[in-house]
Amino acid sequence: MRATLAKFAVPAVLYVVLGVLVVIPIVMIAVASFLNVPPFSGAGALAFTTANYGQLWNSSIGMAAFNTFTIALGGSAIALVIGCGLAWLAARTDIAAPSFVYLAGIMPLFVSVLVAAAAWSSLASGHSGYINLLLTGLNIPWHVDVESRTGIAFVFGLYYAPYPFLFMYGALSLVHSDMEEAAALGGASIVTTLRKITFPLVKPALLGAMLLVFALMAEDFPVPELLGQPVGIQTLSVAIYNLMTHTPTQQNAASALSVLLMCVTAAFVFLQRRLLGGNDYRTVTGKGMQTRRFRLGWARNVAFAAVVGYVLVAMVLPGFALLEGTFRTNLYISDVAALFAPAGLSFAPLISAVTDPVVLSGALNSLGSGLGAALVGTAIFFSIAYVVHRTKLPGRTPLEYLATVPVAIPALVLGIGILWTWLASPLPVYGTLTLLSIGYIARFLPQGYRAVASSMMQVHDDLENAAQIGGASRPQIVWHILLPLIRDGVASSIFIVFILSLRELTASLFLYTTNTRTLAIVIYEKYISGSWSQVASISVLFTIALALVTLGGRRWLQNRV
Amino acid sequence: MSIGVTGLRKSFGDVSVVHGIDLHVDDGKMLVLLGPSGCGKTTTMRCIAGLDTPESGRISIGGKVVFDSAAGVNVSADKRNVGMVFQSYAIWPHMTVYQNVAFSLEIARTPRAETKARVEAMLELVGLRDLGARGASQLSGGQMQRVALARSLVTNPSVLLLDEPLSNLDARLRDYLRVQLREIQTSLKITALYVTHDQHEALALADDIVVLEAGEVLQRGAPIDMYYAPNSSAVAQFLGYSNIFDATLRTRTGATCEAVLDTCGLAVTGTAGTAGIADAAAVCIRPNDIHLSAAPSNTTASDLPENTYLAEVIFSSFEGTQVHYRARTDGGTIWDIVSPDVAGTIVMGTRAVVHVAADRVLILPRTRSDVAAQ
Repeated sequence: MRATLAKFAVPAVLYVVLGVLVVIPIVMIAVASFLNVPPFSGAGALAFTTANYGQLWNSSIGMAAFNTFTIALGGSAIALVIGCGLAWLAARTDIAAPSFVYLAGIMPLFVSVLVAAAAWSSLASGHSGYINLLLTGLNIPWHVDVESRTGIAFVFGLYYAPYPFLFMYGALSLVHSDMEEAAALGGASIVTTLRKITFPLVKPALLGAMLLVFALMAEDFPVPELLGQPVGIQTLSVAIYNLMTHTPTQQNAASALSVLLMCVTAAFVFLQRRLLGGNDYRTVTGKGMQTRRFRLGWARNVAFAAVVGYVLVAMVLPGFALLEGTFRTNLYISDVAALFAPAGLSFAPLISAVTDPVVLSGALNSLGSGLGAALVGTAIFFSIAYVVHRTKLPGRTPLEYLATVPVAIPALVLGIGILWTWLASPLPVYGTLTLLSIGYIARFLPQGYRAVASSMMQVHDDLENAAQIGGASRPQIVWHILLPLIRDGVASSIFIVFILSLRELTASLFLYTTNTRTLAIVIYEKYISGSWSQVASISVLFTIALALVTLGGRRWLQNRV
Repeated sequence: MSIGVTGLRKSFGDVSVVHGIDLHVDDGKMLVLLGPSGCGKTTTMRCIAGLDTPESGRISIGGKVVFDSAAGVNVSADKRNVGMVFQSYAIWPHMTVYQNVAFSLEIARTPRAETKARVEAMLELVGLRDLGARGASQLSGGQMQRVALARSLVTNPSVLLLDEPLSNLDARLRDYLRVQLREIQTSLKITALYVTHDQHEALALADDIVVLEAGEVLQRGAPIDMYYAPNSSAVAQFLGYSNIFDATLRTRTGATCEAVLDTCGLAVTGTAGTAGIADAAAVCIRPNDIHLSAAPSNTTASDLPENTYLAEVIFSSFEGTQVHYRARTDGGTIWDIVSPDVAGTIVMGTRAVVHVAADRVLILPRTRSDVAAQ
């Protein structure tokens, strides 16, 4: 009897943990969407209503839905073209420096989209954007504007390209050139081979990438908030945020809209999973045994120039804009010449940013909450993976499904759900860094879990059986055999959750309080209050820090983010 | 220490893998479980080791009951004091050879000096004395196999379990290690259970063989007895009878029977197996018991004596010490033949005569259930 109870105890604890992290927040939102007043607000008696959904039936939300759809569609198209192109060049052609092309494909992952959007707004908004100054200086009568639907889609396309890149790179690397050679020997032309052999093999990955990128863009908050909000372009995520925060707040309507957005992203993620046959794209990894690369001929240099062009636009230009913002004291730049004038450059803004106590405490908060999430999260992910893959305990299989659910929940929605969950809790977690850590663990559960579980699945269980037969108990086996063998997977999980947490803005917006601002929050607030110089200074430091952390841990990053 | 297994049953989900196996291994002996993949032999071994939990049955090691479904006894694998060599070797790649072998002793908090002495003695025994500091991932297959053996023996286990330990090695190394393994087992006088699908291994290593198929015991006995007297065609197939033809029994006088092959109607005279026989029988002949010779011209079937048939050589392959043939009799039955007469190799396409002595033909029931039907 005791053994039976113990058998249920471990899975039960994990169900409670995942329930609190994932299930209760979703239920909170779903329930709130059918209530007349926000839950736990003390605003009055709770009553059931469907009015929140009816209320969404207006032109403003309709417009937001239209914007979300068109921007995500356009952005996905751009991201797919860039990502697939880079993947094919890096994986299957004789392009110069394929490792540089690979780096170009994943580089945007190291950049916070918040910082990127801020940089682009100074590069190409209105007539004073640096690019527009350049165009005017060259007497070209066009000007570009990222504060538009096209502009938002463009920025999405630039910075979400790594997702299709990783999908396609993995799939293309796994297409053994022998398969293509066999077709060629059978008499098929190159075009026929690509069409009949290569394309069908990578089609699931391609469709999977399309669906995932669309879902990610549909739920993204920072980019449309920074680039769309100022000119009145609202997406659904921005609309939810506005309903939640603009007085008079309409939190129940926000919940209803959250439920709708969640249904859309969940449907897309579900379809994507079906297409990949349960294989997450991150497990598609590894270099195939390439023997033959496609000869580009005259197009080799053109292709390489295109890759360099992408790096310039996605990385160098925004970097330049940030440096300008950081070191130029006078932000009113009248023409191109002034952009490069050495006078007026100063370290003062940077120094004031570094010594700003808000920035310092933000940095500490980011580190603390990120580290907490990474360590505690990985311990949780390890426990789930161990129960799922190494025991025969009852109810272990659904645990794994639960662990992948957050992929389908928009960060904004998860943030609101977690906020309400912990406002309702008697535990004094609201207002502490712990709440942020909890949010990060929930949000990055799928990524961290996968890193641990996939490395655990690669360890043959005979290795542990041999230790057990040798007299070792379960804890001894875990400590002496399993953990040393999967330490890369564990390190990878810690690292991924840490770096993703450092970059996180959307869920944090609902979970922070005055004393628990993270660096991302500080940048966002400074941007909203118009302190461009400070935004740029902090962003430069933030980006350097992220790059250093990423470089330091790149061996654990691989294809997993 | 002996091993006793009674009424062992195990299924995975709805698939029953082992249904009611009884085994007994005497102290210091080696029992080989022989059978095709999926016959339940590895599952049986894992149940004895404690890695799988049977639905029912009783397992004792050295007289101590380690599993008894009726009494609710189930000693966990780490407390059964068995040694096991896995098919995959399961050498821990993050440790050195020394650390691999010392692991169990360290878990048991053996004094350091004693651990060192025992590990070194064991490495000496398996011939790896100088490799203690080598990382386990840098070993060859044969070396890993020996580390696995040393690791399983260092704790002085009551019994040693070996799960197809030689199957991942190349042929020459396999022969060499098989001899070494048997030497070590007999010199340590350790009780061993060995699982394999390879008849040569089984015959060479075993004190006793148990042939398993589909989770049931087909036959048990000493290698030499079983080799000459398989009780059914299913067992014969495992023991190198490569000519097995379904046949119908026609006459029987004492042990001598005549049967007609179902496929071509040829009459074959042979010896009935000891286990009795049913009308639906099988004719079983070893390839090296068939004699092949070129047919004199103008020979007709009616000229030929008993158990002699006209055939055409359809395959001929020189294998060094022997020649391997396949011949098709005029009825269409294909015979597998091995001849030591290398000098007189018969070329493909030759008209030939196949002959087998009646005392080299076993006429057996096809399966175990046919035996039971007697």
